[in-house]
Amino acid sequence: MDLLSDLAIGFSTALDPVNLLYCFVGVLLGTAIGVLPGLGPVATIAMLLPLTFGLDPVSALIMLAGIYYGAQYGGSTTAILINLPGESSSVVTAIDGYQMAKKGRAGAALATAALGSFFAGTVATILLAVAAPSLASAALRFGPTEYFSLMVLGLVASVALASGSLIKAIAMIVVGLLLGLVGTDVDSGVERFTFDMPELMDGMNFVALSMGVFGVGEILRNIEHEHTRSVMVKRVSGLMLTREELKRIVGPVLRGTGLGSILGILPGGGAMLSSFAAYALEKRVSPNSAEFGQGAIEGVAAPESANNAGAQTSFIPMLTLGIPSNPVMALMIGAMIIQGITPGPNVVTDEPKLFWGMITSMWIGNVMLVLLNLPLIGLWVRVLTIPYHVLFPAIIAFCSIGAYSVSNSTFDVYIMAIFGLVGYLLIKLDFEPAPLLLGFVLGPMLEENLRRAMLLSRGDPLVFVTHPLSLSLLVAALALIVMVVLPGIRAKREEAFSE
Amino acid sequence: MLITLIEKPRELIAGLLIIALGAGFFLSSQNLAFGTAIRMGPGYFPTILSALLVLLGIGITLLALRHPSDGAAFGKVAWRAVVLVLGSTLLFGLTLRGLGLAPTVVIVVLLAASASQYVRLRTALPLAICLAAFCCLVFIKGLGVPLPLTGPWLAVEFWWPATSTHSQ
Repeated sequence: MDLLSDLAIGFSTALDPVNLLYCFVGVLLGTAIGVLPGLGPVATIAMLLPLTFGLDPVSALIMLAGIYYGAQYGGSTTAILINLPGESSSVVTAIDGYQMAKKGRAGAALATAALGSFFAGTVATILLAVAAPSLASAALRFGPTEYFSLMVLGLVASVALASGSLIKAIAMIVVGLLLGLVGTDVDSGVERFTFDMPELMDGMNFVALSMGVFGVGEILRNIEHEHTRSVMVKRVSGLMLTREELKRIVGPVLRGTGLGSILGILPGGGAMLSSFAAYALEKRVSPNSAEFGQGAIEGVAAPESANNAGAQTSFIPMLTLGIPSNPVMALMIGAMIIQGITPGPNVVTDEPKLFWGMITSMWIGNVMLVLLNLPLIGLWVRVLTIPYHVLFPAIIAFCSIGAYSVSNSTFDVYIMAIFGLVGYLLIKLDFEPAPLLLGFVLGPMLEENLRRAMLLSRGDPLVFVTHPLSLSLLVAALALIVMVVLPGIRAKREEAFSE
Repeated sequence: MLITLIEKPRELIAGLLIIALGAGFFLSSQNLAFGTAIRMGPGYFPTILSALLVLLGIGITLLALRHPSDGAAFGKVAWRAVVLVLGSTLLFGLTLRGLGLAPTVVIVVLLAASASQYVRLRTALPLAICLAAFCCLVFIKGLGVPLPLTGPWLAVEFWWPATSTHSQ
């Protein structure tokens, strides 16, 4: 029973009082910040990353994972209570969740979200524990050729499955890849795009970059549309579900979990796509589909289970292949690199404590979410009412100190400011900033694998199509692009996103 | 068509910007050794990527020209917010070492807050002071970031007492 002994390592790591504490702090901070307006999980994690640098790698990643699903959950709370989804993955939760809140069933909606998330989190964690090691050992046999093609597929899929213009998203990837190359070339020792600035020799600071684009840029956008928000629900009561409600959520929770678990593994999938797909599916199959949009409890249960399942399973490609499927995972990979761990299939075998500790702590974190959030809901309601003009100056201050503290350099603060402007410009020009971050993290790895593949093949670029595995990965990437570009499917895709 | 392009220039600007960016990267890649496919020089991958970026930019531009009505207005720019928020982060970098963390946070928070139309001094000032205290506690005391509370520009340079007896 390998799995059991592995899980035992995991539990002994995750239940270590120090790690338990960081898991708790992560979940608490994540939820609190997730509840605050205008800060999504990416900005939250980027802002809190510097806090984890002093910790050992296992505790740091456990805390970051806690922040992630805490922020995720906090986003659902705002979606239900004030119809303002904290992040994209709870957009659909707002539709029926807010209607339930209006009818005085906010408590039931929150409880449904919590229970659905917990169930989905448990299933997805088991899936992660079972699937990840075998996937990693398969990936260990990959040569540089396969790795290059896999990364290309990952990058293409991450934009094909997102909404918005495909060509602009691909352009963002390429910009990210180029920015990732800034600094000293590992192979030749030559400085690239550093403009003779010694601060850029080690590459652009990725914490500063992501805080700029996702934190500062987002603030500028929010101030532009600043308005005061009103919380209609002053007190939340009636957390208990009725027997009939319980019966109604069983199906949606199961379907949402299944769908979310699968979609989460796909690059570019993750929490957002999972929740949209689960809502659309439930609307079709539910016997109460007429109630959707008017406060159907299924409309909360399905997307909330799906986004939590998707959030957990999106760790699978990150932990086993070292390939981020969404910007949050890109930040996780960045955090691992800062901690001196090389992401990739070796993590499972070389860092069993990290790998299994993280997996089991995810489940423990989910238990904490339920125990923490339902009793603390009164507190979260009060946090919700903090006005944005109190909040954003604080975010600016935290991000500035955070950027500085990464390497005690004011240069990184300026980098953050510049990328804040870049982020705002990208929003203005309708560019998705997420692919930029994925490209930025993968840039050096992509070049390294391309170099090695070409060296092995003696400079023959056909190697990418003569290796069968590499070929099938590239064909899959091409098929995705064709699918998105073809007009018939494009119309369907837009329909799916507008639902 | 020209009028729609002028009214809704967003996509056109986006395309031209990407072309310019690609061209910039392409030109500065030319100072780097290209190498051969077998032994790629530092310029190989950047050259390919920046050429690809230029092509993508041309694609975006052509799409914008072909379907000008798909574009959108650039939208109003919140200049005041841009200047105040970015200015406050730049100021943070400029004054941090000289003024020390506490005064810097107060100034930065007040400056950033003034970007909002809702902010009033009597709420912003206490907020700034509380945040300064909080930041000093978390970053200097808690995380041990080597920064003075008040810096050399002020008459008294003051460090957190605990940082001298660094026990952790």
